Amino acid sequence: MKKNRVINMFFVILLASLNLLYSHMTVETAFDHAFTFHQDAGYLFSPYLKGTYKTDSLGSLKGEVSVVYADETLLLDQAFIKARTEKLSLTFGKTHLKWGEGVFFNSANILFPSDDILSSALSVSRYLTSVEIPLGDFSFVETTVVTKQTEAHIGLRGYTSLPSMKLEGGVVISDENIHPYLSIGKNWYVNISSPFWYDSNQHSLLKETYLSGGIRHIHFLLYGGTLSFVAEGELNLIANPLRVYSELSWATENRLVVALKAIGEVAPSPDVILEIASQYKILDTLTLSAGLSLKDVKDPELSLRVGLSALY
Amino acid sequence: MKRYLFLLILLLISIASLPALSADEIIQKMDEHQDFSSTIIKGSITRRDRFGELTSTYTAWAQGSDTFLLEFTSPAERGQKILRLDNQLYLFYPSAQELIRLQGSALRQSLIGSDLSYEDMSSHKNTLDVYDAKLLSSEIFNGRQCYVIELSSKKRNVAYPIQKMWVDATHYSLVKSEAFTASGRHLKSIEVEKTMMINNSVIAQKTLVIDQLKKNSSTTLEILSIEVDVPIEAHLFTLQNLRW
Repeated sequence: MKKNRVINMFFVILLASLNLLYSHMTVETAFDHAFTFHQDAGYLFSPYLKGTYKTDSLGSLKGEVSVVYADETLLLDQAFIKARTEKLSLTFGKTHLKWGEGVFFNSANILFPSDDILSSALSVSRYLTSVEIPLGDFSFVETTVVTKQTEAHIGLRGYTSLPSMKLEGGVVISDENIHPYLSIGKNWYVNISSPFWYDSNQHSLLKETYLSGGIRHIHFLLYGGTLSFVAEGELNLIANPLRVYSELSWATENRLVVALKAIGEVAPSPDVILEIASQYKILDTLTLSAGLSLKDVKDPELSLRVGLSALY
Repeated sequence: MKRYLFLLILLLISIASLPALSADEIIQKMDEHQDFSSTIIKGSITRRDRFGELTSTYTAWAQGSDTFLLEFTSPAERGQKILRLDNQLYLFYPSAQELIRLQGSALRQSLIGSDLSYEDMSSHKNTLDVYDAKLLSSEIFNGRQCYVIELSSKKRNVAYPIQKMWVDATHYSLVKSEAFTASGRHLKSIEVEKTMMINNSVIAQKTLVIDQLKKNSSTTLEILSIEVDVPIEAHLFTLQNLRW
């Protein structure tokens, strides 16, 4: 009798928990298939699947888990929880943080730098613990510990919003480097970051200084829709490669976005990647995407990507 | 004949019985009428175009008429937030962790593809600070006795330089409105399709908005639930909450 009561109680709690989770969640699935043609390698087919489970805010807690299947490997992309009180917010788990400004190049994003010219910085995620302490309505300080393989990086930043711009600055400390950065701007933005390398003989030595910046402009079209333009550049002041990014996109107001993108290295070895990408919202929760990209004009590689993403 | 005469007399009596208020007084009453100290609204935005219908849902918290936070709750936009604070408008996109302050022409962008622009969310607490009001006439619209008022902007950088409003003569609530450029080009129409009574004030429960510059497009805003004059935590209107 007592056992039955416990079992009943267990199922009631389980059903209540599932109902609570179901009513406060988003499940997102994305299927991407890339068909790549290279004159030597021929056709390549690379499927990419991503599944994301997000909870809504359950009082002062929320969380997200996402897994990615690519190159015949299943990877944990993100798994984190967030908690908050009026005095602070805490993030714990595998995720990414965005520091600095920039759509494609962001030299201030020193915790999650991306080596791959085609991947955006937000695609990198790492195990971290972050504490954000608000200082007024639009200012905060944040301290973070990020693990990169066996190494721990400690980050500290301050953020404030002024009447016509935002101002952000911080530092990341690792075993070898102290890496400060400064980021300013809003519709235009400039980031500067510079790692300092330490050794016992020379207490500090400037290694490289990265400078990135850009502008964003949105133009409202008279009969609906928008035309937006992004132009960005990144310069390594020591090694001197200049990379540029430009994007022109047209969006109808409800369903369709078409973007033309060009990512190029100006110096030392000029190269360019061209891409046309489009997204069409079939239903409120179902989006079809397609893109055609051309890499390396001298030794061309053409990729066609089609994808479908759904939200529940 | 007698019947028409009776109706004419009834109409004249109803017009004659409207209180003799000036256009400024009517607009002031309309502003005061909707002046709640705070509101929490759960609502929906339904956009229609030639491809069909899309509906988004949201929760909005407002403190006075200058400060509000709107958070989308529908799957496609879940977590996107719009904050109006100190006359500034901020958007937050959770997937990109992107905070954008809207300024200048960006304010003219459509709100999630609807017939509303972000500029429409920058309402003025006191209409008469921005517009001169002129009483044109009184007429019956959708069975309601209305004052018809024309508003002409005092300032140059106003989204709608001329507006024509139909204001309910009993409850001083907005029934219909049409917005024009200074040269008289029709920009937008708003029509209240359903009202509800809250704390002795009549407010719009279902509103049809049509951007006259778009073809085959309309948007319906609907209030699904509303609480007024309730305490709202101040930390809702902060960067910490936007990034949450």
